[in-house]
Amino acid sequence: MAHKQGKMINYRMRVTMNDSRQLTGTLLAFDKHMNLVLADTEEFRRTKRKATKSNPNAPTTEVEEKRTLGLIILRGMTIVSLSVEGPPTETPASRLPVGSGAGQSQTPITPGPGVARPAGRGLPIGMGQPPSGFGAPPGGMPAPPGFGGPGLQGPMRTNLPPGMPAPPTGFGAPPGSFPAGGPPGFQGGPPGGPMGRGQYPPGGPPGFGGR
Amino acid sequence: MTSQILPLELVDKCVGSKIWVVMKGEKEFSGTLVGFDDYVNMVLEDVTEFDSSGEPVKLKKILLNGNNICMLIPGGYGEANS
Repeated sequence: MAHKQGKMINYRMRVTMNDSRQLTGTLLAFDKHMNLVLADTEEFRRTKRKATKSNPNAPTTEVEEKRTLGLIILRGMTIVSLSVEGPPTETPASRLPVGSGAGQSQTPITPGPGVARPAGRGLPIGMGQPPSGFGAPPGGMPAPPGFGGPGLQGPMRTNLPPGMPAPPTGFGAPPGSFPAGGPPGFQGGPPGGPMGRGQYPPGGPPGFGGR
Repeated sequence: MTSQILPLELVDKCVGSKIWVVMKGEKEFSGTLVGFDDYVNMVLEDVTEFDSSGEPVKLKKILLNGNNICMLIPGGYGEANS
């Protein structure tokens, strides 16, 4: 089952929550708590307007409130069910606006100068986890070890050729990554907290110290 | 190859910037995320509290219990709409 949900990444999902709200969005990521990251999210709230005091005979009308939320993080606790709403948005490029109106013809997007090939620093297939201490882009946003690099390519993973190894454990966090409670170096977790704390020298990983 | 960026890693990237928190009920908060813990309790600064009825309330600094948080939207209130 969990393995199946790994396959739903990038799909358009409909999420029902325990307060009768529904959300539709592109599933970018999840963790073991079923916390979700959804992109291009829209929220729908069905509220039944019952007959009011002033007009007791008014018919019960259903009002649907819709909001555009965009990129959201959804707490797994509040999720009741998940279903597939539509096919994946295939590539980031397909999100770009295509000339509207002029039939169905999608003008092909001309490729840029980039070349898709391994950078020689990634994980060998089956290794499962990048070596700690790599991945923070120079001068970029400070990322904890093992966090940047391929980690940011999440939505792209369905573009991998067939035959890639499937996720080892569906809902579980990847080995060596943060337990869902928050990244290492983040202070104030519960006692006896998650693993991985001991990996770093006191003060936390680079870029996280002193917070 | 599991899901490569975990939801809470994304929350961590929001530390220091505006975030919009939707609670389980009708309440919503928008403010600057100061920090959060493993339970996703959060500390917010310069907060505006939105309720289903009435005026938005401004608050300097709050600790929000993670129990009642439903949804987190990076970027603050209304940014996705504008």
